[in-house]
Amino acid sequence: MNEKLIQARTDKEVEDMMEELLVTPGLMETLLLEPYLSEVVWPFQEMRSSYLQNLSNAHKEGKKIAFESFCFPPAILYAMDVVPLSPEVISSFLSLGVPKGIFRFIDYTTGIGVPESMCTAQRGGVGVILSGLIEKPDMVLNGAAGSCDTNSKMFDFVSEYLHIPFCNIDAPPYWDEDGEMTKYYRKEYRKMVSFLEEQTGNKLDEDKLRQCCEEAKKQDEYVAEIYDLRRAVPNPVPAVFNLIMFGTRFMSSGTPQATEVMKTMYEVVKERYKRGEGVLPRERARAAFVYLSHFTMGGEFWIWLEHNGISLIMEALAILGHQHYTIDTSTTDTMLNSLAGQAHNMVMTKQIRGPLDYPGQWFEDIATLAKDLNIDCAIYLGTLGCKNTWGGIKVLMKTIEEELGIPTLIIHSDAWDDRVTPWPTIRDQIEEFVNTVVVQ
Amino acid sequence: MELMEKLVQPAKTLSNPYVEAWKKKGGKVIGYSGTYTPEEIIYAAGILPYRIGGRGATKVTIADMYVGPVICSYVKCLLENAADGRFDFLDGAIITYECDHMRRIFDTWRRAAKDGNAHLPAFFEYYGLPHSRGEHASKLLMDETQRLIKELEKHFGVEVTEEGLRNAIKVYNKTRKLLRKLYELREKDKVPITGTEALGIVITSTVMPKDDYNKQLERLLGELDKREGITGKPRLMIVGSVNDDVELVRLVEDLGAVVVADSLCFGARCFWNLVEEEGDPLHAIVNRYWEHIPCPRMFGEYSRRYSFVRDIAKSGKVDGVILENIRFCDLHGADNTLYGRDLEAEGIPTLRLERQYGPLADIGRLKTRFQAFLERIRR
Amino acid sequence: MIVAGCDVGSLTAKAVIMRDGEILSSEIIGVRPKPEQSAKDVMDKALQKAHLALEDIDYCISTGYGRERIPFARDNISEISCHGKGAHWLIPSVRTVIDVGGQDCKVIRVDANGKLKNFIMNDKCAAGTGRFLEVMAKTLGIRLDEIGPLSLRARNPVVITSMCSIYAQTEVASSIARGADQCDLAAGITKAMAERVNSLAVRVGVEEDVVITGGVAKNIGVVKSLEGMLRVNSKKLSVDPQIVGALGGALFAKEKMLQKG
Repeated sequence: MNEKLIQARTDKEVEDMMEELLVTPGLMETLLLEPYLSEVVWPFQEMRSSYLQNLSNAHKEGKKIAFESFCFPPAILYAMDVVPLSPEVISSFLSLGVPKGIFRFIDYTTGIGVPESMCTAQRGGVGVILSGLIEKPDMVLNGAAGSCDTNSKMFDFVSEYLHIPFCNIDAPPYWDEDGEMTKYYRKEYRKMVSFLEEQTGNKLDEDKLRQCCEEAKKQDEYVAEIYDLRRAVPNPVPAVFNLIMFGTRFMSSGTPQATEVMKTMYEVVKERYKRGEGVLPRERARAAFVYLSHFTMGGEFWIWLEHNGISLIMEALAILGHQHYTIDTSTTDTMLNSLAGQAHNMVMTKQIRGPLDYPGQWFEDIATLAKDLNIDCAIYLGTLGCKNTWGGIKVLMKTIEEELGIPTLIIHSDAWDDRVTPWPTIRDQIEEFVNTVVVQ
Repeated sequence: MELMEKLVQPAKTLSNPYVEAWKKKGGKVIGYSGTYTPEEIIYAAGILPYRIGGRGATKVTIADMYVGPVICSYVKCLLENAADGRFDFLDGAIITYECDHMRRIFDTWRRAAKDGNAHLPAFFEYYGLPHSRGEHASKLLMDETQRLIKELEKHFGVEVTEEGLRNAIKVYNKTRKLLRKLYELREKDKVPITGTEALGIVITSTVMPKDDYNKQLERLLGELDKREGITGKPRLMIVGSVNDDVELVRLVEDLGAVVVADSLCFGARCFWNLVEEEGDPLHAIVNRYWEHIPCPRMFGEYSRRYSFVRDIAKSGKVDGVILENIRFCDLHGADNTLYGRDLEAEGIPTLRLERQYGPLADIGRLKTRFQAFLERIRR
Repeated sequence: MIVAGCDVGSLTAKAVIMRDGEILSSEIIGVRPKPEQSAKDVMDKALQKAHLALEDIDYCISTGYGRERIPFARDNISEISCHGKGAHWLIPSVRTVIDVGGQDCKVIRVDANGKLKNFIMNDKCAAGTGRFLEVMAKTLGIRLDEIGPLSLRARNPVVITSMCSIYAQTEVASSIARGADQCDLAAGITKAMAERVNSLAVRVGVEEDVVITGGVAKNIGVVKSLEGMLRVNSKKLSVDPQIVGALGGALFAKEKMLQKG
């Protein structure tokens, strides 16, 4: 790669941005201004700074960095002393933190030949990594093979581009809770563990694994408690807690810091429930965002919902992925099965794996939640890169309207790139939908 | 050349006289979506396998009701063909999980039928594939294939026997060997067949009974020896997204080139590998389809695909490789970047081309690029 | 020996007449409804300037969007090769030609002999083409040729994030409403434009010397912004950058004549 070209993409303005990666002023401003968030900010920030510090120090400390997907809980990596690097996490940090967004890094990937039609969730982070602003990974773990071609292809591409080893953890073509598909995924998962042992030269340590599993179990328990409270009217879970919930899980599942974040969130939610607090001024819609949210402008998406009476009851990334498995810490075998179960049931990895109306797929999961949590509308925000969902969302929404009797809205936007549809336009569409269709 | 014309004509339409004749005598037809569907199983059931395509669609208005804006135009045209009744002759269809765009046809075709916008074949199945090669993937695939066979047998009241499979393998391997021979002829210094004709011949192999096809192709191969052969034109190879439209190849050949090779799924990749004729026939079939020259939907297999592309480019003595992908096709789009890097490093000129398929295609754009590329590679 | 090149694009038509390796005359006009008419009109004007008749032309090559429909052209060659050829003839050290036209954008790599080495084109999207500037000029309420000079006087360039001209219009309009300075907006516009061109250029690689051609080459703001991103000092042409394609056509015409003779 022509050095000159790399430099042409990174002037001082952008180098300054790297310091901001840690602070992400946009998002911090957002979080600190909301009274119920101030307690959560500190453990969340500590966890995030650990994530970035781990990356900076990895090679100095002789550790390997694994390029892995956000739809893959990293508990196993922490257990094996491998440092996770998720391009989607990096995309989101910058996209939420920096007012100008991650366009420069997205465009960088276009410059090296990554198709513009691929998902911005990866392109931003990949641009940051390939332009040399963050430590380069030593291996690629593709944990979402059966659920998203575009995501998997990016991982495939990065391993070929950087000439680093690649491990495909294949999600089978269908989903089940404990049958042949689950068994298949468990084998693939163990294949990955062997791969990691080979790459690091370290054997899997049962005690470390147990520690991580125990933390992951505690985290799941807090998430389950928070889930129960969502049933309340008004829903006491602040919108932005969904972001923190899934951000924590994708980054640091299995670490004590993540447990601290989840615990603090649960305590805030419990207090709000006792005081009957919900969205302001009052709850006028209980919305299911069936897919993504919007990761720009310092988190305005969540703050705006919070201050406009729209309860974010279901945010797919936060609420899905915690069902259909348990964490059993008895033996290495049961623990690997548990973590495989966690990954196998991860949001998106599970829902869009096969035909959308098949058992355990997207429609069934939304229907279950819609009934349980008294949801009154369903909204799709996505990215232009998502061919899998764009191939079936219109059918899904029709089915939701017919079978669940709730109105639906599909918005054409990109969760990480406001150049496609600016946030104010998205916001206005949601507002109009809620005003005219949802609120009777 | 009457024989040639007969062999390429079915490639220009969807239904054709062979399909019509087959149906008239009470035969059944099952449509399938791509190179990972084990055709021999359908053949062994006494049913005609028919590869569905996007050609012939003149609009995508109904497809747009069901899919989003970033879906492959080939898939949209295919869905539109279903909506417009051009697949009404199918008694069944198997939608194989090749890529995300294609597999969602299983969801959208059903819904379009429910809405009264399309006819759904009575037998409509999803054939789910894993993405990894390896021991336990093969077992999963075998289970899924056996499930498909059972559904097929139940619905059509037929039996897929071991003998039937063995026979099917023989017929299909014959087709593959004949097509390999055809492709060998294309590597000659004097090319006896244009790329346009070759694509037509390959497409036809997917839409008519193989027994008859084999006879016709064998006769044609004999006649090709008499042809003078094309020389003095840049020799090209086409790599990338699915294409069932011979006009695309004609477009570049009319500008003064000859296409002598490809790595396409209506092309080399659909017939290159044979089925083992020894051992259990079902295992041999499943194995062949799983292990054949991979589509980019198989992850971690770039080097296998590249080796094939490079070897064919070299044996075909190509002057340039066209790396095309349909807009929004990330699987081929990402691979093409890597192919471009690696082929150019080996001194083989490449042209990157992103295009729309079907009624949305912009011929002017394509012509400019093809022409400039030929100007670049002409000595 | 008198040769000519005729470049019929989607917005403008150009003609260049050469004799014995010198440019006799050149002309640029807006297109007529039919490419044949555009070609005839621009050629007539160029011939008039050179005091020649059509019969005096020994060989003419056509290029551009309408190249196949020019009856007096003996042959046609892609505008990509022609731009490369023309630019290289003007500045033999040139190895990369960045042509930013009204409706498309091309980056062309040539070798030491001006022969086409590689290229990339964007002709789908207005962003990164002259069309974007036109839309922006309208939104700002200024002339197209004012954008460049204004942008150089910016103190705080506005960041325009929208890729699509439609949304960029909205962005610029709201910036104006909020009292943003015209110079700052002009600078934001030229930078956004340059970023798109840069993104395209890096895909084929940029080797010096670089020359920028096409209508947008006249916009000093875009040129300077792009030079900064590519870390190059582009060479400046001694002729109107819009005629480079037709010039290349004339040069190819000369080559063809020499081949035949």
